[in-house]
Amino acid sequence: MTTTTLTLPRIFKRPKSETGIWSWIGTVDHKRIGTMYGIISFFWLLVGGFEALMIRAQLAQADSELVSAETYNQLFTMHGTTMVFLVVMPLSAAFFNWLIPLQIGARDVAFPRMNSLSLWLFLFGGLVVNAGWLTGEAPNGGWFGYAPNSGIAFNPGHGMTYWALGLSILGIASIAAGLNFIVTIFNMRAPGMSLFKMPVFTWMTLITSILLVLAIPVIGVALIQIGTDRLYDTNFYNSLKGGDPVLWQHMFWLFGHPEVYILILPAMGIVSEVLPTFARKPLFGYDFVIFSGIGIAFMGWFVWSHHMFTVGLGPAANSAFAISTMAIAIPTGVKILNWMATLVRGSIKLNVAMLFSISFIAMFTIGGLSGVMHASAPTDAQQQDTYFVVAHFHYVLFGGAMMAIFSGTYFWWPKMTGWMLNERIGMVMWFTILLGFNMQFAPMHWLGMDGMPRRIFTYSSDQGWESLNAIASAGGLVIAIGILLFIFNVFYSRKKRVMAGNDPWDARTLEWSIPSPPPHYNFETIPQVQHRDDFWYQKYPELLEHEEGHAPSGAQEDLHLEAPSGGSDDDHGHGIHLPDMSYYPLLVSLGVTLGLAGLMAGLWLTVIGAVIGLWGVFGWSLEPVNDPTPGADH
Amino acid sequence: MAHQAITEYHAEVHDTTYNTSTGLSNRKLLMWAFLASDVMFFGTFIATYLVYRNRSLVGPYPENVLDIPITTVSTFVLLMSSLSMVLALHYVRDGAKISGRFWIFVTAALGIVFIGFQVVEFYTFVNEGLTPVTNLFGTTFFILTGFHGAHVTIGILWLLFLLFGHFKGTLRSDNSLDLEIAGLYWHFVDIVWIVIFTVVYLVTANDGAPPGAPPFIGPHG
Amino acid sequence: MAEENKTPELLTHDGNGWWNLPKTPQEEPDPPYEGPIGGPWLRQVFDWVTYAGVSHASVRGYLVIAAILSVFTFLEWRLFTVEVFGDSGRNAIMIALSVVKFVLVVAFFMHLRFERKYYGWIFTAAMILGVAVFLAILLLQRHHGVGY
Repeated sequence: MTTTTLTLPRIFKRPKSETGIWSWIGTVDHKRIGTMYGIISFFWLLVGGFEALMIRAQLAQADSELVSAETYNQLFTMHGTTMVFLVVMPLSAAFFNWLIPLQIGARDVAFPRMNSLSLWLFLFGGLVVNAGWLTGEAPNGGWFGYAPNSGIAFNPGHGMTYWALGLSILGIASIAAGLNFIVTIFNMRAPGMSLFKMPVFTWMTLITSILLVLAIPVIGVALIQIGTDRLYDTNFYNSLKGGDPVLWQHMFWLFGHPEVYILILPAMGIVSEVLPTFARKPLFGYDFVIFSGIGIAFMGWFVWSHHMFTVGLGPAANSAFAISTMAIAIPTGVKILNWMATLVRGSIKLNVAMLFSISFIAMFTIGGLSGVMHASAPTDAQQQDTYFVVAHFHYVLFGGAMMAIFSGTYFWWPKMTGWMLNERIGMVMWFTILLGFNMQFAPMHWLGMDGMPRRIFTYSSDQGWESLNAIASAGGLVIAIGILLFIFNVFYSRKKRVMAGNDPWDARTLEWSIPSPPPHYNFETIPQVQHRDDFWYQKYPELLEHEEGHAPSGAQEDLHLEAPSGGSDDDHGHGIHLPDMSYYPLLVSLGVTLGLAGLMAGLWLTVIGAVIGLWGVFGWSLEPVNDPTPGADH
Repeated sequence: MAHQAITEYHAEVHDTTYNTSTGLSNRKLLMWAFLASDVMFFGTFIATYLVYRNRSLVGPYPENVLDIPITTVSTFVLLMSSLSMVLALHYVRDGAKISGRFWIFVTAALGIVFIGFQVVEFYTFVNEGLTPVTNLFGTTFFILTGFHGAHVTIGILWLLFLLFGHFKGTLRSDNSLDLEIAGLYWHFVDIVWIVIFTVVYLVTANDGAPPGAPPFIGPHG
Repeated sequence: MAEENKTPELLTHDGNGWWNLPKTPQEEPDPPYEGPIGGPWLRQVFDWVTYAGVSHASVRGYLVIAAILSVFTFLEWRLFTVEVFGDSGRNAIMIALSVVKFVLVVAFFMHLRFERKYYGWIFTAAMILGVAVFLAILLLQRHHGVGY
């Protein structure tokens, strides 16, 4: 069939090389994109961690003058913003990218170039948010940027403008990634893998993606509003013209509460993969875990005002949101019980991944319980803006999300790199992190109950908060040692190179059926799925009978799951077309970033950004997914 | 009779099944999910407008500036562009070259006319003393309708791009999905306007000064 | 294996690329096929409008829908200039008219009525969620601001 094709004149050649820096810049491969997500967000973890250490150093003793009040404001704002938007979300995205195509038996995501666009937008957005450090005007209005404190009248300078623009760019990245994974999970599953045969991590990714796609627009609009307020003097949150600070709180938390489930649901997915593997039992109550996840995601939309109990919304509103907040503990509790029941009578293997997952259950339960405490509006009135709340959300986000991410890192590292992380160093790291974490955040419960407010840059010595703060600060150092141990472990294990093989853990899901690291095309033959945890039952068909209540079907022999021999990256000869590399996603994201930055810097930059962006968009839509390669392999 | 028609419909649908797990096209699913996202985007803007209804401290208020007859005409223009959009898709799908081209062009042209109405409207409002910084009504009105106008502009560029492709032969009946997806976007922008026309214009156009705020005398008064 | 040049199919995401999966086993289609939206009587009406049996509405159908949309818009304008039902009654009628317009465009121009229900679920879920949360915000915010 003959067709006319249109292309833009190329300034850069379409990247082809398979090694070197350009192969990473032009890549559309989900595995490479996942790796870059991981590396970039680990860098931000170090930055955010350093900010946390600065905060702890300042608070270690009373009347400290290590940093000024203004610097302290910038530190806690950027610590929160970094950890939420630049660490936990993209680390989850790193796992999405790496694992979703592997778990559902696909060769890539549905829109590989859009995937690359998300990555670059995330990189640039992070840089814009942090740009303020260079000029000494980092964002300083808290990670939820309450208006009118974040407005131009009370917060002159550029700090919160960087924040609004950077988060907008990150928001576009998140929406694009969310859309991509929704389509990938709905449409790219291997034959036979119906929705209720998907691995739990895939399910949680799907739910998280739906939340992203629906929640990010809300914060996007709020950021547009505060951004135009700051840049063009509009009146959304200008109190002098009648702007309403409470509206900002509604807007922010209407996004913000689904956001906390965006942070924790992928972690729950990771734990739901690790626990069954090392307990050597199927996940207890698969359907309950899935439906609890759906329930959490749905109810998460109707609890946002529990962040606003002290605003004065009135007893009716407060009661309604208190009830819905307490109710959301039910599906969460169901999940915790399911994880524990998975462990009951399992043949438990305690390695680093498993230890982190078990710590997740314990720490997340503690954080969840303190969460139920301030679900009660009168109790919350005592706890609002104290260190008790700080303790709560660090127990769910660090003790929850980060523990699960470490667990997933140790679990999937062999699959991603081909070699194992050292278990012995890992054990020490696990113990250090768990110890440091509890040293740092458990005392905050007492401090908060004693009335120590959050976001004050110092306190006087007669308030009796010194010893607990000193313990907490020491705990921060211990966590830092744990993170350094992780870095050491990576380099040490890389040198030792204990090869993993396809399936080092005797695991359950499809990604373990292919070589480590997976070849470029993932699966030589797309697998035919018949069961939940299909790979497990291929290895142990005799377990099917008593675990699923029916005899193994005779179709077992038809499965084509043998891994291709060797780890060769040679796609040719399989007839597998993978999308070619492209620079256009990078161009589009550069255009978007420059265009938005131009709103601050001047119209000329916006024009440059628009030109680059439009060039990228048209080039992208005219560029075929695969360049025709006459002769060679067709 | 109806029953048989449904059976035929089955056959028709199965012919266009894609080789994906659900049988749905990746790109169409993407567009629908994006529209779901955009629902929340415009929902937030419209909610802001309604929260700030009757809260402006100075004029002009909606009753001073909003012009229902003219906006009814521009609404009609946008609705008719939706009609031409489906006709364009219909003819492109059938392989009718001239009609397909004509209706794509008409759609884009009606979009441009709509944007023209909006430009004139904004210009008039500014002359009458309403800018985005004047009061809450100005802020919420301009940002909401401005973002809608930006969506329409993107749609126009998209349609012109497809029109160009139709001339060059890259948009054909066998890949009319390209046009169908642009059409989904276009109709979505249209239904957002249906909501904006009702909420911003018809329902709130008679709002005057809220209690406690001074009446609006005129841009120079 | 010998392959033809797949470029045109690749362009339309319909070719033998990385997204191309072997068919799902027929005994378990996912999701199962569900007919068009609407009960029996609604189906009769739709069948007439769409000539029945085509996967998208006909030109006649489109013109009928467009005529309804135009008439409703005209009605809204007339309703705005006459004062018969009082403010709230008039607003209720206008909102009802625009809901009908909204649904007609979504169902026919966006072909949602002729599509697999997946698309409908996605869009409807977002609409319901959006309406619910934003109504909640309006309710929560009604006691704030000037004049209260």
